Amino acid sequence: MKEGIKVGIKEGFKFCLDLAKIIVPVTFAFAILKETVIFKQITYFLSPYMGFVGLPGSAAFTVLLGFFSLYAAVGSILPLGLTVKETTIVAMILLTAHTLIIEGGVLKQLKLNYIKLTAFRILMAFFIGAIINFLM
Amino acid sequence: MDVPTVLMEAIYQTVKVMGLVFAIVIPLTTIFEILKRRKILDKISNRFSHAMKWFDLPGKAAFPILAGMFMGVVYGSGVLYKQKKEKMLSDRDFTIVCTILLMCHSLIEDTLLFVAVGASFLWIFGFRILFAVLFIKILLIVGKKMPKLDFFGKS
Repeated sequence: MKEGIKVGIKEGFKFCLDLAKIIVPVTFAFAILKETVIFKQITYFLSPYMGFVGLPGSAAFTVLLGFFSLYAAVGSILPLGLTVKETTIVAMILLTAHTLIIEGGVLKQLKLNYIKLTAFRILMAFFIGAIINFLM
Repeated sequence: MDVPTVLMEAIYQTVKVMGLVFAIVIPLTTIFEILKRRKILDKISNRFSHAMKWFDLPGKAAFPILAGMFMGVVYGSGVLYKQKKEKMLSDRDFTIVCTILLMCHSLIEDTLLFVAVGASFLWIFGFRILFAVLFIKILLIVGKKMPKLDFFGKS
């Protein structure tokens, strides 16, 4: 039990440091980026495309980041100032489809059809996002 | 906004999010480690073996599914590699297990990270399980009715 707690805390600390390497730069960068004019313009341009899942244009960055790294996406949410509903929708989309390249690699190693499965994930993710937007 | 305000806000948000991450991750990994050492999951998964019939899976599929859903992705994928290597499940069953886990893994840790930045825990937790179960069931029914369209078949 004692040994387990020790190892658990150590593992947790290691994992947190790994997360910090991604989350700290992303959160910091987004907190600054979102004040820039060009960011606001891109957001404005993207907003009609994100509307169908009930998200503001700026959340497109979160979703895109999440496709590469879920933890980077977590870092971008606070600076963008999303509401509870928007955060929940983003979370549902990303928790269904995230870190596609690395997890696709795992599927490949498990000798599964990773292209089909990844396409299925992305499709389901936006479908689920639309349902949550409708229900919540 | 002026530059110092933006910088202060950036620092504040970075510190806040990392504080939340530490507060969530460390207790979780500690609990996972204790559960692993006590082999709790092996005991619980026996109770879920009947539920596996609903997915046309053998009872022993309960262990990799529960491991992937609740114990984090590293441990979960470790269990999957082992299952694949030792051929514990048929190819089709293995594909079903992986598809369920692909849609719904690390239910606790990843969900809590999003809850930390403001999402609703109950909505995410409930709907992730619900959608994963529902979609897999639909794919299984379609596969049974129209074998040509079987999502889990050879392709």
